[in-house]
Amino acid sequence: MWIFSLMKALLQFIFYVILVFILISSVIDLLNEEGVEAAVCSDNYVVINTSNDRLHQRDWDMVDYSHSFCATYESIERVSLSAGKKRNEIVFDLNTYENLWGSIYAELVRESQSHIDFLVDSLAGISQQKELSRSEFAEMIVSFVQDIPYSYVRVQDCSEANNKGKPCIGNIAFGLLSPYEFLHSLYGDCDTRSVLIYALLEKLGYDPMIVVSNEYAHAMLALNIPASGDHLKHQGKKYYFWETTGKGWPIGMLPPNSNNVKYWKIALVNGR
Amino acid sequence: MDANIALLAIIEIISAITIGIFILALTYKIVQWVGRKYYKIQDYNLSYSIFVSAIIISVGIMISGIVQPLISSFRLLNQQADSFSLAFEYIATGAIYIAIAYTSTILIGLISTFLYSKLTPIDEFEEIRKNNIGVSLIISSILITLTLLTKDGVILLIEAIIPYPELPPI
Repeated sequence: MWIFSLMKALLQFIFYVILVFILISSVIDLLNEEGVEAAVCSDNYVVINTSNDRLHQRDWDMVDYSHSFCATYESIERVSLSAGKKRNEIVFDLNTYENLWGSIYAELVRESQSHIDFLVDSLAGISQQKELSRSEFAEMIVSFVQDIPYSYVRVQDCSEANNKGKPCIGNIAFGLLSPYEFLHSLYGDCDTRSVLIYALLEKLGYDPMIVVSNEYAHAMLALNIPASGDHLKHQGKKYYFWETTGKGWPIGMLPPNSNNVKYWKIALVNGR
Repeated sequence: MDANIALLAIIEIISAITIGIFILALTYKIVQWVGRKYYKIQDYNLSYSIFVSAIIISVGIMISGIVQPLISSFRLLNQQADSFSLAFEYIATGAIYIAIAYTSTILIGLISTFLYSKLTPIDEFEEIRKNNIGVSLIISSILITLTLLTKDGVILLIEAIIPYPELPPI
């Protein structure tokens, strides 16, 4: 008799697993209904004249590989050098760790406003062409920066530090580059990336934030859009963390080695 | 409405309900069976019911911690592959997380009751069998407290096996 009870329980269990499997695969089907279009340009840049101006060709994928993008832009060496000169002259607030970095980031974002219009227009054009939603557009911008390989940007000479096999650019004031310098050189560490994305998103009417952590020696973007996962609350709004230094990191997911929200402080939000 | 978030929410709800019903029903059946077979517990034993409730709450607390890691895994799995293999991978990942959380809860339950019974001169299970509610409440409290204390560690263990994307050495 017990064998029949066991078989009945087993059949019920199998039926239950199959039901859940069908439910989940149907939901995934809905998520992946759009096909992936292949990118049409290669990821590189070429020097286009003797003054070291560059023509960049960038191709990248959305975090979940649902879309593939391609963009071309020119960067001018002279503008990059000028942005670097202004960066060296920044006066910062020594009040707290987050205020110090916040004042530097705010100045870099302000200075970059007139230099990044070309990229904002180009990315907005791609978004319109692909009919992206607002959240997808933000993801496209973040993945554009995530796709750029990580490099160290150091205050000291690169030869004096352990660069762990990564590219390095040394003798840079504050150890970060301005948005235009980053777009030109493609050298960017955590805060260099966050500042560029902040500047782009702010210009496009989003509500971004830059968060810093003295404990983790790291900086990250946070964004106030409908999402789920790890977030920080500020003035009643939820800002979802977004790791920018590596490919494939979705919004609202803190890396396991820096996932204590208490160690993250707001450096820059609403331009302050 | 953001379709992606809505669908993620549906998956989270399906996962939570499925895991909840399955695990809690399984736990209840196992504990009832063990009680009847090995300790000859009667149906009217209130003390044992309190103890069973504490076990179910402990399992619930521990299992609730795996929903977020499971959703994180799903968001990272949600790439290129076809829906059937993704669903299979998702269910397999869920089964591993549940196994870790469930085994941890059982170990915590066993260790806590064993240690408590060694520290006191009375036989706790015998007292529960005799419907001693006081002993049952104390053991239940110990069990729930230990689960709360160890939950973060178990979740960290589960997080360690989530296939996070690579990060540069910052």
